[in-house]
Amino acid sequence: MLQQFIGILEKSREHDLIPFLKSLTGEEKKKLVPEIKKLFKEYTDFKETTDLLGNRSWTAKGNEKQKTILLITSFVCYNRQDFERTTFPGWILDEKHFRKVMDWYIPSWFNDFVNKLAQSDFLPYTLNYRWALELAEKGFLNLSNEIIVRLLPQIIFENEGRITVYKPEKTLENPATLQEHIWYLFELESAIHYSSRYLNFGSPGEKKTGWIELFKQYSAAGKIERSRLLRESLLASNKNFNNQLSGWFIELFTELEPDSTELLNLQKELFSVLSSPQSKPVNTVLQYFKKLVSHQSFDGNSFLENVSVLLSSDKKNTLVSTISILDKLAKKKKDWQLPVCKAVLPAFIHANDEIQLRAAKLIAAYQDICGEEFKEMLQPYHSSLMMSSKNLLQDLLSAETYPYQETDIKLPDAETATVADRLPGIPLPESIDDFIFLASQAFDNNQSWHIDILPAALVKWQHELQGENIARLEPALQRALQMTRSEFRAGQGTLDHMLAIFFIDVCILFVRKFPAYSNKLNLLFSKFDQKDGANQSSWLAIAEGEVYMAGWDSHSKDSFYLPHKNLLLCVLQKLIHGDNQPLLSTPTHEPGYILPEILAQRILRYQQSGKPPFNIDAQIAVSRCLQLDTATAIKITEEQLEGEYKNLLLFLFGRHELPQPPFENPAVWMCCSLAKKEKKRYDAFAGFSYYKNPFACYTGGFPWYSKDEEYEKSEYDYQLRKSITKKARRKILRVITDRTPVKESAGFKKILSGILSKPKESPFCIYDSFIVKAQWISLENDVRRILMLTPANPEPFLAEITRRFLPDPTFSGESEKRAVTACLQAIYEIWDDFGDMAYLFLGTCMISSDKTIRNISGEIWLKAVSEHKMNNEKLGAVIGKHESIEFAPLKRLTDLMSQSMFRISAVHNKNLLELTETMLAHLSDLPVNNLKKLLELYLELLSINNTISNNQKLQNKFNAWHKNAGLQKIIKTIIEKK
Amino acid sequence: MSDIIAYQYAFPSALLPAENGDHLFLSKYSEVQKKDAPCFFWGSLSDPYTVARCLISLSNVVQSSFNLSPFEMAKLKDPIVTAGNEKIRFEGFSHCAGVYARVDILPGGYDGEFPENGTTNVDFNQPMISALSRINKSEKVVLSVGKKEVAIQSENQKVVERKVPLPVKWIKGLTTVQLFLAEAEQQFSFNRIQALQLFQSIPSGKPKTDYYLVMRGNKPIFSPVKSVNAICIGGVQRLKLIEPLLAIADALKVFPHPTMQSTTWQLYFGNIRFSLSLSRDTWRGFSGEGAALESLIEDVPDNWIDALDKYSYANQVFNPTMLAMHEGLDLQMLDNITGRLSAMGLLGYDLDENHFFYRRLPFKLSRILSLNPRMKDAEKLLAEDKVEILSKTDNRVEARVAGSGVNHSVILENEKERCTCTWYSRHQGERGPCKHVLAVKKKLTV
Repeated sequence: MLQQFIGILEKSREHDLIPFLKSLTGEEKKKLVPEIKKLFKEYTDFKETTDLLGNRSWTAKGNEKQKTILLITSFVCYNRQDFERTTFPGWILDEKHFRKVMDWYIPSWFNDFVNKLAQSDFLPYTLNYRWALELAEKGFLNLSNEIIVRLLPQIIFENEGRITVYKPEKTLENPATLQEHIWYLFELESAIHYSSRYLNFGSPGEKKTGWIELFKQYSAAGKIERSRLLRESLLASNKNFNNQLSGWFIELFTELEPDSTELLNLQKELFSVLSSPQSKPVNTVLQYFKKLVSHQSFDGNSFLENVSVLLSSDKKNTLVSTISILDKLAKKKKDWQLPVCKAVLPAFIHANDEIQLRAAKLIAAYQDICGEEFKEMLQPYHSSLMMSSKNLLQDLLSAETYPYQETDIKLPDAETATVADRLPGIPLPESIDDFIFLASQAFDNNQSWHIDILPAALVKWQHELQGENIARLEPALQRALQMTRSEFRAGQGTLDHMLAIFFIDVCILFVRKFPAYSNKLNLLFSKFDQKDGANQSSWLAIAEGEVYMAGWDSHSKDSFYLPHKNLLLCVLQKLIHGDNQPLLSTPTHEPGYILPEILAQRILRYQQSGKPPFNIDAQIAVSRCLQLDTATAIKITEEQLEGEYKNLLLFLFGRHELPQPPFENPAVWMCCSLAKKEKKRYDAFAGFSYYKNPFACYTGGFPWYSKDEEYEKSEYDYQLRKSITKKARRKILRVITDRTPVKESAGFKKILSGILSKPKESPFCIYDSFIVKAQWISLENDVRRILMLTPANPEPFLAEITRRFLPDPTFSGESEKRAVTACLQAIYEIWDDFGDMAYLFLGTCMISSDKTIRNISGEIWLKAVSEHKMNNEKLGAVIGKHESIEFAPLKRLTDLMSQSMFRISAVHNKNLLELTETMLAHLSDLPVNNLKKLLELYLELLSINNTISNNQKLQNKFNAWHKNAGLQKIIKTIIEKK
Repeated sequence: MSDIIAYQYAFPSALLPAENGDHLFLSKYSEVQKKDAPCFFWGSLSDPYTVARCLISLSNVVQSSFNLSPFEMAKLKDPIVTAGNEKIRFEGFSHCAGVYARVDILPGGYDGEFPENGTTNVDFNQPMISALSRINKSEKVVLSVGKKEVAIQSENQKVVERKVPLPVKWIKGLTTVQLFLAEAEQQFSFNRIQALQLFQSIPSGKPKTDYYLVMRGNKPIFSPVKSVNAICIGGVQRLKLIEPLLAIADALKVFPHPTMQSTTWQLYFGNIRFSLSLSRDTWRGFSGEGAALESLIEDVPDNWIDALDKYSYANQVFNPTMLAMHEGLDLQMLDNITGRLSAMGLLGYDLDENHFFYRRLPFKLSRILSLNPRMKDAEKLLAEDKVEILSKTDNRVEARVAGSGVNHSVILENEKERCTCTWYSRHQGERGPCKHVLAVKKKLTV
């Protein structure tokens, strides 16, 4: 039996196959199955072959006939499960194969098999509507409605060579098609809306084709019932189908051009469409209602019932149409005037002057009939009314203002509480248990300060970590070792990898110190040893006195990881030498500050021990030190400290106006001067080598410009089949981070003074590391921790972030977006009235392409205004300069202003007015898109602040913009405002 | 047990034209139906327009998914209805189990009768949902949950059977979300205008960051920046599911969980309520939260469940003390009984009334109990003797639990429990106890 089959297969004797299969009993088929499976694999698997010329190709052993033989045989012999596992089981439905089998063999699972195929994303091409109907007629198939709607859309298109021909008459071949099947298309989701999208109908524009055309044609010819078609297409536009399909059905309805009588008969269905979540059907129906509203039998009450939902739409078209229909309703019947006025009220929640004005005009026209009840209903909208609407409705608004609360977004008791009371503290582990649980989560970046707390806790608890406690480090070590295999989780950054390496060094240290208790850690290390063939690199093979941390570097080789790295190296030194003197730089309060008195006390301990602190530790410590509530710290410093650090702290706390020598630690002095509010150069530091660099390297005050420029871009030309260079334009922000040391003039005096006091090369300063060089970089999980090294002076790093991540008006990727978001969130917490670079960063983020970034920027502005830490001149100048070349759509800003920054409190209104005026003054004389909206907001702000526009620079701008017809009216109103 | 569940409806749910208006017939099915209970409710709705809109929103929740592939989305689950004690409640979950919705029709919201009480799945088919959208305000609608009259069934209708993989996430979510609700407290109440303004500030797209509900003057907004007392919402775009209802709602109340693990947004329309509960983030379903695990550490005696079934009826306020008195149960064991029973799918929680109510999920109890993998893992740890109690005093227990490759330290101290495993390290107990803590606690009860 098997041999007989192999003979048929090898010789491709297709004609002998059917008689052979027919002759098999059920038992024989079962026996054959394992052999067929082997043959199937042998004949259909693709294998690489090489011809005589050495050309390689991938081919299967079997020819087409052999594959067909295997397909039919497997269909006849396999059970359903096995058959579905074969390659392309759907091929069996090919008419030319299936006709050979269907008269004598249909398995019991055939119907389920086909219906399952119909549920998959792609139907096999072997199944088509006509063939499926035939199979159903023969009783082989129970056609579900779902299969019908998947197959039917293609029936009217036939391929003739490379051209597709439209054949509507195909729907006439079977009476069920038009009588029954087409109506399923209105019930179930199908692909009818794009059934002809990718077809080639030859020369375009010759003849209308497609289903809409068919429905028009056949309903006109009476082949499809027109009234049902109109009704069903309307209902189908609101059946939770996808957006395009719903839109297609409403388009069909429109294309059928219903007349007024038909529309009036379909009012109920039309009203039901108004609750559609998609705007196209709603707007289409509203257009019909605009025409119907004046008709006697228009159901005005039903329309009024739907108005509240319509007016909550965020689509301007919907709002405008709804108000316009309401207007007509009110004009049509006196009884409807008051209900219309009440119904239109929700329009006032939209901060859109045009919409509000339309609604206000409608109410104003009937204000005589609007009594006390109406006034009460209007009152809640008072605070969201724009000035122009307010003026129109002033007779209906009560004299007293609606309770309009000043927002308090300051921290509670901001003026009385101390910093320590206001900011949450960062505690150090209080026991070995606490330490163990901290260690096991330290690499998760659950809190940005864990990278500081873990080493600090190690220094503190190092002498308790012995004996049985060593084994308790196992889970944390396992996680650290996992990180070395790049098993990163969401939220972890490069700094966590660095911390993991540090922790591995720590564990190696303990393993060597306490070998008797280190079995478990040893075992764990060996599990993570790397084996590459015969080579094996063992974690514990590192030489005594060496640490992995020393060789650590990020993939990007960027220098901004150096401060953390150097600090961790210092901690390793402390652990090696058993030094448990606490670090200076461990933050005490969120998000990364050190209280001044604690810093003073920590320095005092070093002084008492006679050991100097590590330079990098001191640099970070002074950079993190808060300069608020310094009285206690000054007292400790003056009374108990001595020498360089005494002078350094007194300078930091403002007790000394100028730095006083000795300057043994120039990098710490440098950080100290930069942590102060006023960033300036000091003569006393003239000998520091840092001063050879542009001072902007330390303040972030680099020059910048945004520009509309021509550039050359590379593009693939499909006709020429090669890359070509094209000229194009782009808008770009450039921050000129030129770090070239300043050359001194070579006068005699200079040369002499140079010889006499040549600046010594000063040691590494953390600010020198804040440079982003790598092209591809993921900073989102590290940026906050880097900024928290210098929370009082984040601008040098912000300059790099701005240069690297914000040069384009649109983000180039998600990673950039996330990095900027993380950066903004950190800046929100540490915002102070920073310098120009912070304003460039904030202003650019305010018009960024990401709404969350814009919203956070808005929140920074709100908070800064509340705390009187916002310089609107600087911020306005940045945005104004950007928008003078329309760096980004101005709408991003006007939306942010109207949604998040507008009408917050009197102080905010005043600040927003200042900001707007500065922005307007910096704009170009040529109006940018959406300037009108900004001017409307400006007018609104003038009204709210009860002031007039008297800025001379602005007057000149108004004169220039006045030439633009679209702006004349608003400018006239602004100028004439009194 | 099969992991496929077959919903078998005698015929499909439908909105059928009736003599005076429409008849909304909901076909029901429950695999734990004790007796033939043909109809749970029959009567007219006072505000069919609002009920229809609420049910459409519920179906949108049920059809939504915020973290699954389209393939998964195809497996439609049906909402469940609990009728009894003069209330009708519809409950449903999104596919991802991160959004829970409930429609409550309260006394006054209907004029009808409850021939039987109970909880059942109801067929929510697309044609029926589509038909709901054509109900307008002047329409009269009769609702029936289950078949009251044979006449409703037309001749050609056949049994509707829908086989779907057991909605494990659903069932787990339904049990867990009640515990979150019970802990939630109302923080804000907004009128319609404020609610609309608030929803205007939902950012477009799918924001990756958390948003915070804050007040600016008397205007609520969503802000991406954390501030004091702000309600934290991950995946804020999920709220858009109830946006269509805002324009007809009288009020919106917001109930955050004390540690912001979930938020519940309740809309009020006279005698109808719509609640939407969001999980902590889009990628976190209520099903995985493990809030109910704590309650499952001790086995629940069978007679409790029997007693509960015997004395309770659907939507009845749950009173644990009464249950104990009826059955002579040890009052000491009543601690946390509500949590335990709700974890078993026997109780729901009403935020407004502030009480649990009886509602037995229409799934076999054995299915529900088999759905807690962390508990099963904990039991496995115990069975393999991997839990070692190192020390035990009145308020402190220290244990060592063998994990994968390493030994974990577990310390239970007063109310605080800590473990060195990855799960605990990442979530710090916010998503329920890890298997190691569960195993230690279970060992202590033995």
